[in-house]
Amino acid sequence: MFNFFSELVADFGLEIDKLNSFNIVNMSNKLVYIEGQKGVVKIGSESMSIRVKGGVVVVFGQNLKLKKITGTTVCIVGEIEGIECK
Amino acid sequence: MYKFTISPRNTEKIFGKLSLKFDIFDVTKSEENVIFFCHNKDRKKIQKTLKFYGLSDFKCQPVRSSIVLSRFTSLGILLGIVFSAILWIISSFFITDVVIMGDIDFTEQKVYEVLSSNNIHEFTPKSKIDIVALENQIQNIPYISYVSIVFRGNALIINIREQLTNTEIVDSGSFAPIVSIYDCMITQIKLIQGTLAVKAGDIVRVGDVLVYPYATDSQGNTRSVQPLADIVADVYITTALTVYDQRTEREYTGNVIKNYEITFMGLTLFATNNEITFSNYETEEYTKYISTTVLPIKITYHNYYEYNNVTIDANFSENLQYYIDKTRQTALLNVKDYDIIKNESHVIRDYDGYHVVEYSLTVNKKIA
Repeated sequence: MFNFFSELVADFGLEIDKLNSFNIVNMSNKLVYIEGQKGVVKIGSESMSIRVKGGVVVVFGQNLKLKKITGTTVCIVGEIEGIECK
Repeated sequence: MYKFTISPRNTEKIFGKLSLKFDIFDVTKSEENVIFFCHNKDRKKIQKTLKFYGLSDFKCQPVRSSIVLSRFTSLGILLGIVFSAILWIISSFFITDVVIMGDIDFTEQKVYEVLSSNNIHEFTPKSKIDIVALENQIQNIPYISYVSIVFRGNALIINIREQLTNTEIVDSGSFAPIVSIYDCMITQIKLIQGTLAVKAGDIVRVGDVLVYPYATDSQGNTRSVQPLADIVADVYITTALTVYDQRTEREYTGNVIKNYEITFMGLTLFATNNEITFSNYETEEYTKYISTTVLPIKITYHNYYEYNNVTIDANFSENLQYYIDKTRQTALLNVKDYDIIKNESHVIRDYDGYHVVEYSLTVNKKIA
């Protein structure tokens, strides 16, 4: 099956264990897609924290909303102002 | 979709657990509560999970589409299908229509009487209809030669063929006599059946009876029969031609004046108006549709053909043979190839201003 991140890894010759890592996509500061989530740490309209392998991803912004959570992914929408990986 | 409203306690922990097993949508957190949505299939499990983590004061309600889907679509359609299936199964045990097909002229009512006597009508159970017995009963109706009965769906199809009408039976006693259609003299008669009304040598007129439609047997009993006979007679065929000394005929000059008129729904759109200068003329008029698609636009032509009246002298005495031949040709139209012309003659009668040519043929021909 086609996977965007797998393609990137292949194209750039990166040595990343995709199963044990996380990926983040920011689309025009309107949507953040996080793959490899391990749980929600904080839900708020100005910041959201998502646990990932080896840390936490914090998304800052306004009117943030958890659009969708599945077993491995999170989709956050709103006025994205920043993303920080801790 | 179902909408969950939960208290904001331990939200992150709850979502951490829920997200591992279920898809959660549109999470909105406020100070009073947290709202999220889930698939229909996950509703009950999510409710259990929430209760497991001590959140028993949540609200769970279907969103509008879920109401439609869950209450009407799933249950209503299912019930409708089940109900329809039950109705279909039940109805398949009954007949809902009785159809009588075939060549039916006068036995249909009798067939319905048989059906009625067997208590067969709409919504009669199929199991109560004995097709073989019914076929036998209908077969016994007079003038029915063939019957076939089948169930087709919920209809009882009765296919019937009536006996072909035998004219000799139906029209018994009502045969017409053979009558003469010529003025003639009978020369030869060969009777096949019936009773002769004439004999060889008799002169008969049009309409006279030649053979009566009955026969007398050896016991003197009279019975009706189809009159049949071969009758040959000398038929007198006479034609006449009247020739006037002078006659007026139209002689066309070839001059034509044409006008036309274009109309739409009776309203004249355009018309030519050429003046008719002829003193004698014949008018021809015809109409065509210019457009037959949308607009009923018609064009009407008016053609005027000039002619002169010409007086023609017949010159009867000079052209006598021509008129005699012409009259003879008319007489010969009544003669068939196998008729024998025994005699032919002509008579000229002169009157004031005109002459009459009469041509007579005596033809020996078969008249019956």
